[in-house]
Amino acid sequence: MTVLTIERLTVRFGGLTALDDVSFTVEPGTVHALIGPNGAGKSTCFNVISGVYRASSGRVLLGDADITGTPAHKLAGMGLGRSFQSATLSPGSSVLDNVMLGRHARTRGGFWAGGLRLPWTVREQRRHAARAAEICAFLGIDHLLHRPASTLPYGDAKRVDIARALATEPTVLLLDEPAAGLNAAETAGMGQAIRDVREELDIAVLLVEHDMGLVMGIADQVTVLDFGELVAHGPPEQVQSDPDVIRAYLGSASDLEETGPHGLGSYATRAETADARGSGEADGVAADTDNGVTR
Amino acid sequence: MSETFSQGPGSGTGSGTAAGTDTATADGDAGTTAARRRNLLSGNRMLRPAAVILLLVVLLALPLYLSASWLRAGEFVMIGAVGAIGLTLLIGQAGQLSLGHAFFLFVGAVSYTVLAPDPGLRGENAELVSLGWPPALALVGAVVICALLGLAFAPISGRVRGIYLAVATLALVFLGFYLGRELVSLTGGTGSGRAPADLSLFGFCFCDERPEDLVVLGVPFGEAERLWYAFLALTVVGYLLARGAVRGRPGRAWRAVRDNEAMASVMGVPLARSRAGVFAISSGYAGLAGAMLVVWFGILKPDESEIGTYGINVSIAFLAMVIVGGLGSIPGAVWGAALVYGLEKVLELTVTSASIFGIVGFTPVLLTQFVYGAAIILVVLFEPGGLAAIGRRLTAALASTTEKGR
Repeated sequence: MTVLTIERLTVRFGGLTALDDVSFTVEPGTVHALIGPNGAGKSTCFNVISGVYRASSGRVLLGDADITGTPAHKLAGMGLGRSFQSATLSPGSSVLDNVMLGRHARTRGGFWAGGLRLPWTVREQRRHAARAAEICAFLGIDHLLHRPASTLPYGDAKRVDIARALATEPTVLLLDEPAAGLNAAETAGMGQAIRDVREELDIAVLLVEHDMGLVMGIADQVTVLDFGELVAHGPPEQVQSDPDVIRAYLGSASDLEETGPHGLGSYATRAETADARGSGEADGVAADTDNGVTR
Repeated sequence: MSETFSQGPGSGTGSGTAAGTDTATADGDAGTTAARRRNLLSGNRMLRPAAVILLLVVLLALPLYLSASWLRAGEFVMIGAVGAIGLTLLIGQAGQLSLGHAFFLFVGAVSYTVLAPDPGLRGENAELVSLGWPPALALVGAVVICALLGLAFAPISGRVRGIYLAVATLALVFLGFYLGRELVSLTGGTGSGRAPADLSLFGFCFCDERPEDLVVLGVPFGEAERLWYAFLALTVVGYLLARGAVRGRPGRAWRAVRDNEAMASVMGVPLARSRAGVFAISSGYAGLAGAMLVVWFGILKPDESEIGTYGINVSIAFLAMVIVGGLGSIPGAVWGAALVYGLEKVLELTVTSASIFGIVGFTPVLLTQFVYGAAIILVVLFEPGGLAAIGRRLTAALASTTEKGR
């Protein structure tokens, strides 16, 4: 059964159409990559799926459930986990505490239960902390459990972000640029971690990523967006050689003449600039997440 | 943005980049975990519980040794501590800046006085409303009323952020000032005010009534001694509740909303409910502090201007406690209260002349304001974690020296 279905999704911000009639599906046990140049609508797509933005039209199905327009906070308990572009952690809290946030929808108890440390709350928290530690061990960050998140190297912070998303026990894991800001070794490690999630946890992964090496290495399916429209869809080898995709990234031959000489390597330059600017796509979440890390 | 984190690998543990240490200490949460681990590792497992027990024993024994006026100073600090704990949850943990704390203090004071029986000191004034509840129940009622009022403020506290929320809540202080003046049947009016009932529980009165009835180790227990224990119990309960909440699920949700709303909601935290909830809890704490304050003063008297017992200056004093103590830290809030409210009372008790340093009008209150003003600047510049962070550093240093000494 398809775990995530995007059906004719359209998102408009005033006069700007950020997503235009986009449809694709994420199959169980696969890594599905969503790629495209800056402003292609990848982050918008993510934000609609995770309930941060509202769709203008179209539907999003999580398994059989129609989750279009479902408020973000209800999705965590329904099997949708999400990581953030710049590892948005609570900087002053420990790694364990950050990952435990992912258990929020799966635990109970407010001020009185927590404040009075009622026996069932304490037991519940202990049980879930053990599970959170297990997830951290799976991602190789269990030695950092009691470190404040603000003291972590960026690569580890991104893993904590993913651990927190996994802590919601998702059926689909959305990863927003898991390799952005990582060096080559860290990127390779991240690729392995994503493979582990697919193979050992059998969780479908939908990721947005600019690092083409990573995408082509781990993705089973690739969906390419450009200016809000779906340009190509298929296995990585097929997408890589698609003329529409090459045009989306590099522009057409006439564009090249107008803007001056570009080698085939210019995509990399473009992607790097994008990373340096925190992939400043026109969305509020990117701005917010930046804020979260630097504090 | 990635710069802060990519500097990380070199910076390693606690003493990392400036940004790193700031935020790490600000929560008190991860910091205490680290300190606790250090204690465990260095074999000082007994240090913390022993210190807590010692502190409790000292606090319980103090009424046997201190005079009534010093006890009253301590009780005033406890009032500040309860209020500051509530405010540090709101500002430090949940990131909602409020200047309306004094308003909820006022509502708590009025609620207690109205709900509790009229002591009948001014029986000629038949206009005063009094519901005649048992005082202990009136105390709980005051907390509930303030919490509900805080909840009623949710449409604003749930939407307005940062400095705008501060201004919106500041308006409440002016509202309180106006209502205090106008609703004479509840507040007694600005001219004379009204007397609140003495606090009592199951017939035991925390007052001067027949002090010869209660003599402990040769010390007659009057109002000051009795209230000390009542306030100590309330403060400890308030402290433990807040600490439990901060370490548990609600605290995590508050910090997540504070640090990034989109992230918090994706993780399953309903934003509006979380924001409204912590505002209500904070207001409840303020209400308790207000009820304690009116019992302590022995009179409810609405302010004659926006600066007074429940005025802007009080909101700012609480803000100072929270900042000096370390935003979000529960022990920090208590230390902040000890500095801001304690210093004022200690100076009042020790400085006999009306003016300090021979300067006319340089009162203990004024000097205290100078001191905590300076303390805020020092904290913001040099130790954003506040007194709580300094305390943690001292215990860590102590732990490492005892380790070396072995």
